[in-house]
Amino acid sequence: MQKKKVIGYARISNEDQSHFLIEGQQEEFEEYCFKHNYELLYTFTDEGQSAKDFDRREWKQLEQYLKINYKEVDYLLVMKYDRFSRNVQQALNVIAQLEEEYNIKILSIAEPIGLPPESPFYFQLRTQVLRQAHVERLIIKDRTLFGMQKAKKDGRYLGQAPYGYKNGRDYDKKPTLEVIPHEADIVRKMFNWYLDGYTQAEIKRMAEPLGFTKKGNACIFRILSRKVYIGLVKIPAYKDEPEKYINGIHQPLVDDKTFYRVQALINRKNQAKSQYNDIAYLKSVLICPKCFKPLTCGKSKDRNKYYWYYECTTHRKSHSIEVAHEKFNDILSEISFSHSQLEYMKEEFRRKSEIRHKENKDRLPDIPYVVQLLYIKWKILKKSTF
Amino acid sequence: MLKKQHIKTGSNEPSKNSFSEKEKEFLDLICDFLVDDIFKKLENAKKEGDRLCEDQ
Repeated sequence: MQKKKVIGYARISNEDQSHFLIEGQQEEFEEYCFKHNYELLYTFTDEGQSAKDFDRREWKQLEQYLKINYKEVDYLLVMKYDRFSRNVQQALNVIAQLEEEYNIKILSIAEPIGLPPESPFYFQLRTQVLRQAHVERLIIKDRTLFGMQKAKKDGRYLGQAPYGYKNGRDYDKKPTLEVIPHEADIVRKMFNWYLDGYTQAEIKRMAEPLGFTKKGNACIFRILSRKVYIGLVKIPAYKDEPEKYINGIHQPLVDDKTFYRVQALINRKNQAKSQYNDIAYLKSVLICPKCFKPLTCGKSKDRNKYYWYYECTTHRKSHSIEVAHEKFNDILSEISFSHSQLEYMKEEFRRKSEIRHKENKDRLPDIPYVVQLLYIKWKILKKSTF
Repeated sequence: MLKKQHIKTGSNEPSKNSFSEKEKEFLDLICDFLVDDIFKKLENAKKEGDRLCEDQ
């Protein structure tokens, strides 16, 4: 009698809490085949790959292999169904494809169902096993998310360290960010250069000779807008808790004042790009309370007139401009400065203006220059009028 | 209805330099904006003037 031919599929993921090793699974395949007198043609192994879907490197190779050699294969061997998939819906589709298109059955070594695969109860039992694997994945996912959320709430930055830092471990061997001094210097310089009026492209060109190697047009923007540089850690929305930032345990590279001045400058430049609208004059000034993106404006029309509104492009939540303007005016009417505050600002303004004037004397016009400029403008005007 | 109010200072009528750190930061930020804005405009005027002079 001709030996049945099988291929094996072994998998282990990073987060998996099963105790299977790839080598262990391979040994089991060999032992099983020897015991049942099967011929093991090949074993595909996916290491560090999740079973949430079939987008796995070696699984794709396996599919390619079966496309060509399916006539030679009788069984696909797995250690357990959770090695095969932890997604019931996709798993059933793939099983149907293997069985109907290629006439290949799946055998699970550790879960011998003990019924002929044609039996309806076989389908029921296998679905139960797959459902269990699916539930385990959801539990693992939930536990991982909870653990990450907890670590973030402790002020730990998870994930790949941003430029200026490297991933490290503290005394408790828990993840933290460690400063890379020369990269940190470059980051600080970038913030200061931006405040000095250099564009992001110029900053990139200036930083490259200092050892900055990041590629892409948006790399400077990403650095300038990351709150991790002022020591904050982002806690993403989780269940009922909204997204928020908290103080991290890592060392900040930039002070708050510099950072927020840079953000204001970036926002102002973005606003300048967006077209000013006379009617919806708070366009790009108002921000969405959920995602903090600037609101845009739009209008809808009925038979008689247009109705203007502000809208968040992400959440599609619109607000009437009349109501928004009224509330905005209410806020403005409630703000005033005390005499001492005004005095302080006057002094500060004078002091800062003097410093700025001294620093940028060459780039600023003096009185004779302004007179000359006005004279030229007057000449141009005269020419065009008469 | 809400009454007109000053930016909170921690006292009813603050004397000079008795602002809290946060308040001072806010006032400084406004000054920075004003100075930035004015000097940017002056620099642009100079640039425009230079261009006009060249054209002439």
